[in-house]
Amino acid sequence: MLDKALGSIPPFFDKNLLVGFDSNDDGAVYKLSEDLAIIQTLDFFPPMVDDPYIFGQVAAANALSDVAAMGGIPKVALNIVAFPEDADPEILSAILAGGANKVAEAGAVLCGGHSIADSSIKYGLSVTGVVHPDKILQNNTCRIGDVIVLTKPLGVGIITAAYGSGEASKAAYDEAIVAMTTLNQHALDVAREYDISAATDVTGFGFLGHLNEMANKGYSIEVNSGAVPYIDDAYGLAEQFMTTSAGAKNRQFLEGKIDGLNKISHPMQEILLDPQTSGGLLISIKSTDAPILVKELGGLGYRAAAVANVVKKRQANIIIY
Amino acid sequence: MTIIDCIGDVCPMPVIKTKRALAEAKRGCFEIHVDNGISLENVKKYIYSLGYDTNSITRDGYFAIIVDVDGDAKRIANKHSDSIVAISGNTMGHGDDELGHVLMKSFVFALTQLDNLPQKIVLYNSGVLLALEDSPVLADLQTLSAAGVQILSCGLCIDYFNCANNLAVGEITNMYVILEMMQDGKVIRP
Repeated sequence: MLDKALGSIPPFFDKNLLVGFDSNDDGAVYKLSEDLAIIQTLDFFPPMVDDPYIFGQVAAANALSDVAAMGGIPKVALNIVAFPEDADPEILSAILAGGANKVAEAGAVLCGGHSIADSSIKYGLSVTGVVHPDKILQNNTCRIGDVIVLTKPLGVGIITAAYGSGEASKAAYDEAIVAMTTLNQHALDVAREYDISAATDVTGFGFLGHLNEMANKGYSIEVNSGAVPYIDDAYGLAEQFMTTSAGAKNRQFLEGKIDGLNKISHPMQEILLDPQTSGGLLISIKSTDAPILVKELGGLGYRAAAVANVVKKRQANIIIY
Repeated sequence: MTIIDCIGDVCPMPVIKTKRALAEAKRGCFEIHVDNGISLENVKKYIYSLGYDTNSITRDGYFAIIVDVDGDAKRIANKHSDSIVAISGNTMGHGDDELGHVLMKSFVFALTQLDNLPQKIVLYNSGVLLALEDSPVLADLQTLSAAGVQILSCGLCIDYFNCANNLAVGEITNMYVILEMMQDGKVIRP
């Protein structure tokens, strides 16, 4: 739907616009000089958790993640707020405090924003980061032979949707909160020390949707589904078909682009298609560096794992084992 | 007839409402109203996973899923015990391999004849070879699979034998799931 709508916008040409929305990348990148480019991103959404402070943290971690996914360093952030006029202002204070907390943790500066009165709460940020033009990490520039590392467990969408109705355990919900509020920036800072070729973050299109964006005409990606980390309860919930409608849309969208999905268990399929909020990074890294990165991220508390291999072009973009 | 109104709800809400209502009432006839195809599919699959068949009809602007939950309803799940069969090799027992193959064949055939079928069969190490195209027990495993027994092969093992393309029955799973299942159910080993 979005692709169709974007089609009506006239294309802009500027030789300094290095990444725009003609690609499926996470943010726009604009070159200011030979050694400096800015990354501009924007993301906002309605609450998926009850606690307003945590919601603020999740929204900020999510918005900041787009800068990390492009290989940049976040510098400046602005709030975007929609809030009902008759709602308790303390809720808004808590949301903004949560957001400010994560912006500070990322080393960026929060310097204002804009709010409107609306019937339901929405919050997010626009973040500006910087990157060296030669160090931009695009999502579909993997090298054959690379290994792809995922830095957070999946299942966040399934867990948060079910928790509100008491179907997911507190432990699983807590794990989802930890995953959603963890900054991808720290993982990227570690990964940058290694030989990496591409990155993206996992959000609404789910693990397979974003992995599909990493594939290109020159190579395919083989997924080792058994190695993919996920929050335990998600499997049992998916077994009971407590999955989200957004996950089902991801499945429809990916039809024909993926081989072997039906060979893995139904709950695992759902986990791989589950839309994530503030999901982990997918980092394409030299195969010999992958285990070292996974170990180092593990030491920092990330539930990271090597989950896929970049291979010679096959018929499908993605092949699941 | 109890109506479970899920008009305007998106997944997973319709499944959660259905689960609640069925658990509370235990028996009776239910009509679940949903207004989108994804919810229709998920609710139907959920009810089927409980062992009940459904009928669904399209009404003016919504779908009605009808299920009769009572003592007489055909409970597919009842045919299954909660046991898990764990097969760690393509032969049964140690000693003579030729005999081991014969024993395994007769073991898997015997499984098909049980009144209470196992819930799942987990295959690992050379056990995964039993689920391949050229397996001597393929037909029996397919019979079990058709009867609703989940056949699960260890992904690492499939990779090790490099035979993912030859898998002819069941699904691939991982060590975590295998461990969880073995923890939850009664484990039978050949």
